[in-house]
Amino acid sequence: MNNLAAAVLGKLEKVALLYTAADGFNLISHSQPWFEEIWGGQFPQELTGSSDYLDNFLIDAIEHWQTSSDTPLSSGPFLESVSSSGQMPIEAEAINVDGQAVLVLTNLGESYQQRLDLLQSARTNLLTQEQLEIEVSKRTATIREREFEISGRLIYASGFRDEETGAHIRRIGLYSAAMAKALGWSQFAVDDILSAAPMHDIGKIGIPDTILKKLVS
Amino acid sequence: MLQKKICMLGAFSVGKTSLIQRFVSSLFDDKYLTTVGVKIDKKIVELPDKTMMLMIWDLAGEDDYNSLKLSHLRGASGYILVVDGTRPKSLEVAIEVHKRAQEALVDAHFIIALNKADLTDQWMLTDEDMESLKALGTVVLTSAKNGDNVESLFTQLAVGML
Repeated sequence: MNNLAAAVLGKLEKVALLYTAADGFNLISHSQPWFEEIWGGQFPQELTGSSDYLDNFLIDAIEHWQTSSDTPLSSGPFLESVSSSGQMPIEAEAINVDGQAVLVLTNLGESYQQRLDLLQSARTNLLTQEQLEIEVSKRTATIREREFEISGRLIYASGFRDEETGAHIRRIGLYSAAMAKALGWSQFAVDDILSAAPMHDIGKIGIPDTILKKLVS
Repeated sequence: MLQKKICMLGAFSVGKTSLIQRFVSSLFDDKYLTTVGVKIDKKIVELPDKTMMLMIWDLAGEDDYNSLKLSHLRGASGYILVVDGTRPKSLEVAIEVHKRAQEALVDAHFIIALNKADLTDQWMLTDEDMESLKALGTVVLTSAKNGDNVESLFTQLAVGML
């Protein structure tokens, strides 16, 4: 790697390592202080056993290198413990370059904090949304309870007006609910039809007795 | 020394990191701080006739922005499925994550932490929810805030993994 390319990687807080089954890992860029702090003791060659997360990722990385895929395989961020700052956010990428297996390690630094802030804000919004959904469903339940109460009272009133109609519309509600359930409707829809179906004859309340109770000869 | 890898799984903001912090460092922070990526903590657990090193993988919570990477579960002997009693949605997520984890980790032991037991007056889980949770497996009511059952949660999982 030429000096300019190595300097660019350095500016990007990245180190690159070439992997071969025979020799393990060898640095092909300049080393970095953060890299020395985490892996200094193990390099060159040995990476396995130095980080539990990286050990796990390297299994996927080695498989990835064998596929010769052009798309880099990213580990996603992981936190490594360091004595100076507590935790350091790192990301590893397995890349195939001209048939050679390259591992790039990046100190995410500030970009990790930005990602954290962004996600923190997004998840806080999701929490608020969840709380609002709960509140809306509570209110909806109250409204439905009220609707069922009104429907129940109307059915009750129609029974006073004409006992036969009252019993009939109650039965219609129960039959409709039973059929809806058999058809696999949701409980919400079953409750709706149980409450709404009895309304089909409710207009009889307004029909004068002379018509409704007229004797048929 | 016996060493076992375990993973913390569940929706975001259910208290996975807080349970680990309470267990490993006896600390609790009331402020919600989201987890990005993976952090690994270790703690030695003394069991009746064995000492076990638990390697605890704290995985970022499941939501619209982050999905469980099955490769993170590789080699795990067990996992803790965390549910927040105040958020019914976290139960749905837990059931979904559990299904995926079971496919990836056939013989892994698991335990359910029904967390935020210090807020039972704000719990939103119905009797039906509780039944479906119990049908999944052992449920331990925990509070990372006051430490209730946190030690027992990890110890029970450790014993189950023996």
